[in-house]
Amino acid sequence: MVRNDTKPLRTAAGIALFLALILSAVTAWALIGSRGAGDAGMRIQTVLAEALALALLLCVLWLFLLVRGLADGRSAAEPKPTAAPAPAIQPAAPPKPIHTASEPGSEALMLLSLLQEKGRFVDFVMDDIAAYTNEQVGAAARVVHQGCREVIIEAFAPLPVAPIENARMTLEPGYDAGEFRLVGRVSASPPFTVKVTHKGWRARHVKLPRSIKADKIPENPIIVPAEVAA
Amino acid sequence: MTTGPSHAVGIDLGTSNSALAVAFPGEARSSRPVEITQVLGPGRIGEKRTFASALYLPVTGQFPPDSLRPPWADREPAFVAGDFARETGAQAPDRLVTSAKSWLSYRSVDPTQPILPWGSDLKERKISPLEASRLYLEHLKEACRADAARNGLPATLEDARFVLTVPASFDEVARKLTAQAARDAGLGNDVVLLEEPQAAFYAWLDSVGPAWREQVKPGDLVLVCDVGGGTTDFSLIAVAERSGNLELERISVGRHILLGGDNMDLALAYNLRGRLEEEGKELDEWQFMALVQACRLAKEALFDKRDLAETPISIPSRGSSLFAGTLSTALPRSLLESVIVEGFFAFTRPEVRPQERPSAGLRELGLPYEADAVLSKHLAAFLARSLRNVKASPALTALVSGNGRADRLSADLLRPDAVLFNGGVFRPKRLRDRVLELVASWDKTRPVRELTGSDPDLAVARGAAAYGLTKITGKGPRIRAGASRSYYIGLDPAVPAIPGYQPPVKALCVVPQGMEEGSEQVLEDREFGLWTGTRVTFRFFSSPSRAGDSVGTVIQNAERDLEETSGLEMDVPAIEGLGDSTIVPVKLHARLSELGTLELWMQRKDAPDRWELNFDVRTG
Repeated sequence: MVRNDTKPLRTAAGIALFLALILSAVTAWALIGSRGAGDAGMRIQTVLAEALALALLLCVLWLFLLVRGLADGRSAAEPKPTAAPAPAIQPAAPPKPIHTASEPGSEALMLLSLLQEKGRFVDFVMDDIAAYTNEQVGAAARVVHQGCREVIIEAFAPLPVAPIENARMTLEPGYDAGEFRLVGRVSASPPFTVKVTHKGWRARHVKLPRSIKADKIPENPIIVPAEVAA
Repeated sequence: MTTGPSHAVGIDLGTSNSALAVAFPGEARSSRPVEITQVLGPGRIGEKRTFASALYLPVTGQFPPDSLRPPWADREPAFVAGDFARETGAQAPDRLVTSAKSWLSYRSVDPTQPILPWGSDLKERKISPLEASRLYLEHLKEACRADAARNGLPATLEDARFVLTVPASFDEVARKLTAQAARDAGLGNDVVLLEEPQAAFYAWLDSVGPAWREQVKPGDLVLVCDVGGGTTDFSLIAVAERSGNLELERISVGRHILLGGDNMDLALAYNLRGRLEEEGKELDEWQFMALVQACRLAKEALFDKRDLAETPISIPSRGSSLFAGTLSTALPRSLLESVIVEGFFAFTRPEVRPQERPSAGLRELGLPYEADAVLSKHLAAFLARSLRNVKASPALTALVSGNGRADRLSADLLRPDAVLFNGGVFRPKRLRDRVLELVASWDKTRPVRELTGSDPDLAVARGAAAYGLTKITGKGPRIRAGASRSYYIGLDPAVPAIPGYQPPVKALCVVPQGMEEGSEQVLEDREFGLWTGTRVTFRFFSSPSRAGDSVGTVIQNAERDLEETSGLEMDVPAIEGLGDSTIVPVKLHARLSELGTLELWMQRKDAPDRWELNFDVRTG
């Protein structure tokens, strides 16, 4: 990975060095051409010095990358130490990353496909609800409830923030405003005496399925494929 | 050079579901379940507590390329394993491999041959039960590695002591095959095999801690009642006191019973489908599967909430219109009670035995599913056989009738004093209570209690890890077990041939039941003559209920009194200096390894030569 990344960098450094050398040649030529003009000469000298300094810096960088590249190449070519006498079990493969970096939105898309696959969530939302009786909607809701519940519990294992609704409680100074959303007529400062109107939910864990491949999300991505029976 | 294993990994390679646990020294409640990384769908990966022991063989191009590749695989595997495989395969059974484990213990078909998916028309790419087991174990091994990486554990698999559980009913051949699958999966050569009911007991010991000594007393018999998705496994463990210490000894194991929780959900679903059909509503195959799943949840909900009269069930249609196509029905409590409680767990008398499948006529090859679904009868049969087993051995008789319990010997069956439940079937208290009532009805003079405290889905894996830890540290209670069966080799009858008369085959006991792990036995009073330069074969038998036999005991009619296990074969090379086809005198040695596998060999008299006897699982 590292060597693959540095290769273009080395090329860029080489090109920059080349450009810097041309630049210094051009400015030197300009300097010679304008000999005698005091102020301008001073200015051009400064530019030349800067260009040379830059060239030197790039040169050093390029040399460094070159040397490192050679060293990498050598270490790759070096023979591996011979295997120890057959261990009881095969040596571990180099650990491969289990978590792949995913495209923004891909986890949300995956959760949505799960909710559809297990709980027919998209079917439920996209169906025309006005055309059916409450009984039909209710029967369908059971399907959605059973499947989506499984997905949500697996992914988040929700548990309440406040234990009992409609109970009174006191929020002491320094309470976590992320845990309790204060609504209604609020006095100037805590402690607040409040009634729990909704117990809130928190996730015991966040365990979302991950994408096997870190591909870009295509245009109009698939939520669930159309199913065709053979 | 090496410092020995640093931690233990318990693997519950289940018939329908597998689980993993690890145990490190110095932790109070020592074992921890491992979440299993697996493909959850095309392009989707994640962790689950259990892993379906199922393989699905996709058609080329059925899913987008590389979308079923686990992160550790270099290329897309031919089979996808786990829950997604089972879900997908349920709609295409000819591409689905399940119950591979049961095939390992089934002797009518060679489990090393590519026979799965069973009954499938697929011409190639079939797989053997052994290979399927290897694939599951390989996946579980990698999941273990992934878990260590995720949790930042320094532990590596090279430092692990693996304990792999097998049904108590597994005979030596099935155990050997399991050990081979573990070796082939790269788990090494020293994987320890542990019987599943024992593992469940170790999980209980681990969860209760030192207080276990207060929960059982000398003279107690504990039944481990393990009903999984597709199989049922029983064991009896005796509690005894020796020089002031409580000791545990496994005294009897059950046979492989192909009956479990899946049968219960199916029974409910068939009933409800019948009702729907009466109403003129037809279910397709996919909807029936949804019904089975819904029945399982409805069953648990009804058992959980005692005041519900029924649980409504909705079965969606396959198309996207949820409101128009959903079928409604309900699982009433009366049906649950009649089908599950009174059906599978009926109150039956102790002398009632399960119905056997009629033996007349042709029967299709395939796993021998139980003909009788009443678990109560299977339990009674096991306990009655256990009593026979105990009576056959003076040592076991003394153990069981001690502590003033001589009455046990005159009963119909060996009734336990406590029951440890395992398997998801027993999550509802109603079913645990039912089994306790059933057992109590077989001897009303004494109470029966439940040993509680372990998680029915993960106990076997956790117990295996906990047991592995006791092997590493040398601390913690141990169950004395040894060989669960006695083993015999067949002898050719030495009688003159009589037309139309088949003389009975005699057999000689070579491994007695309870033979301890790490010990060796020699068949002293019998010398065999071996032809050199030939292949020698023997018939091999076993019995789970002849605890009294010792090495050298002769069984007059092996085919009647014993179960045939497999052939034994041995290649005897020509010996230098003796020439071909010479007879050399040998003695038969048997050793039960520390890992729980049996080794049999012929030792040449007064010479270092020895020849291993190998199981021959080929059939026909």
